[in-house]
Amino acid sequence: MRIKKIFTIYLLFSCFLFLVSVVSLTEANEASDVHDMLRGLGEKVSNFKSLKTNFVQEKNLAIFKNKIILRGRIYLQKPNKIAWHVDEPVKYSVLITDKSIRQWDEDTNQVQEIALSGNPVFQNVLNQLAVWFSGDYVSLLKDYDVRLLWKSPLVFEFIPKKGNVAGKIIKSITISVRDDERYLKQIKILEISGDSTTIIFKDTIFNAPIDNLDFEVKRRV
Amino acid sequence: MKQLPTILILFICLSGCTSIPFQKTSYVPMDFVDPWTIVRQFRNNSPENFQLVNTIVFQYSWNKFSGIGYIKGNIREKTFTVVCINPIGIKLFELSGNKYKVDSHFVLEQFSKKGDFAKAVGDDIRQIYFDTVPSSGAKIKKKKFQIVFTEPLETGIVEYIFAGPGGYLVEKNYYEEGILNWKVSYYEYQQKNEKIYPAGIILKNYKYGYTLTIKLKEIQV
Repeated sequence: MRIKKIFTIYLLFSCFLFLVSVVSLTEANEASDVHDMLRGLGEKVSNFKSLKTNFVQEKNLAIFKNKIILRGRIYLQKPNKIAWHVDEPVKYSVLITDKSIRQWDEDTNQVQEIALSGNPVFQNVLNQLAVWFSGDYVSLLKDYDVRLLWKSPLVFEFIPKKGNVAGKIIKSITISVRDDERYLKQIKILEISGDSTTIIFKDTIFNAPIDNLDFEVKRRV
Repeated sequence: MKQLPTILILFICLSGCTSIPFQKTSYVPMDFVDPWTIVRQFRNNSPENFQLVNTIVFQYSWNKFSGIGYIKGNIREKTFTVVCINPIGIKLFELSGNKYKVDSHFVLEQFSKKGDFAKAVGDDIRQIYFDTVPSSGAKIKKKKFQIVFTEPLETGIVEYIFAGPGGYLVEKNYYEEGILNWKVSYYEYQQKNEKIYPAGIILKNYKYGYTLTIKLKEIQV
């Protein structure tokens, strides 16, 4: 009777170990698949030298029921130039390069320049923007856990790892890829506070000649 | 001595540089207007609840900073919730409060370093949006183009100036020991759902030397 009981426990324990190993193996395979997919996506998305796109940014504040909608344009010139122009509800421009940030808005009508040397916070923001917009998603794996939410079209969710400072504010970042997998359709940032920001990219054009004036902060179209 | 006119011209130029970005109220004769009728009409036309999207410029010395403010308030209960984001959608602060206190839900670190930021914002909101009509005990001074009400407030005196074709509140001033502490100016009233909203507001805090310029962008009902 006692031997039968020991045998049953042994059998159950073996089954448990088998299940754990199967699950771990599956998770490891899935993680490896996700990494491969990200690498593949990164190669497709990063295949441009310059980009211009319109965007609609929806800010959902947990404390209010209505959304704040911002509209504008983003210009990106590799390796390190991003111009972000907001047209509504306020006119605002920011130009980010590897050396400095220049910004202007219609209400103050002032151009401010901030040097990046000695500004690690801005430098970090620049690096993050460059990664999200230019497709180097594999480099995010050291700071984020990633899972695939949808295969067609591709939707990935990035969750800050423990110890990543972004985790103090950000709960998750979800990127949705266009059907042709050439660029992002939208980025959704969910904050710990319950607020969320969704940036929807529209009319994205790759490698179109970009006017130098589009990288000036005071010029308004 | 020769320098004096130069300094004077420079002073006039500098004064002229701080121009008002709103249309000045056109003054009309107020001789035959009943002061309490004006107050009653203004109270009835003002919304009890409001939810607004504004752009805000904070100016301190030569420094200017701008943001997009989202405010919800109740004039009768004197409660408010305010969120300010920068033009690329990053939250700068989120506060709520009533007549007596302000609760800080989120304040970006660089703001929280400078004194009691939440209290300062709460005070500004109360000065701008609440107590916009005098109480029945206020003293009245009728001028050709203005009706001025004065009454004690805290340790000083508050002055309400009604003027213009609509007989709306155009200025609210607070004096302590005869010195102007702060002034709120209201411009370009507009109507929505039979309620009136100033499209431009300027708060000048002489005590602490800063100016807030608020442009109404959207009335959300």
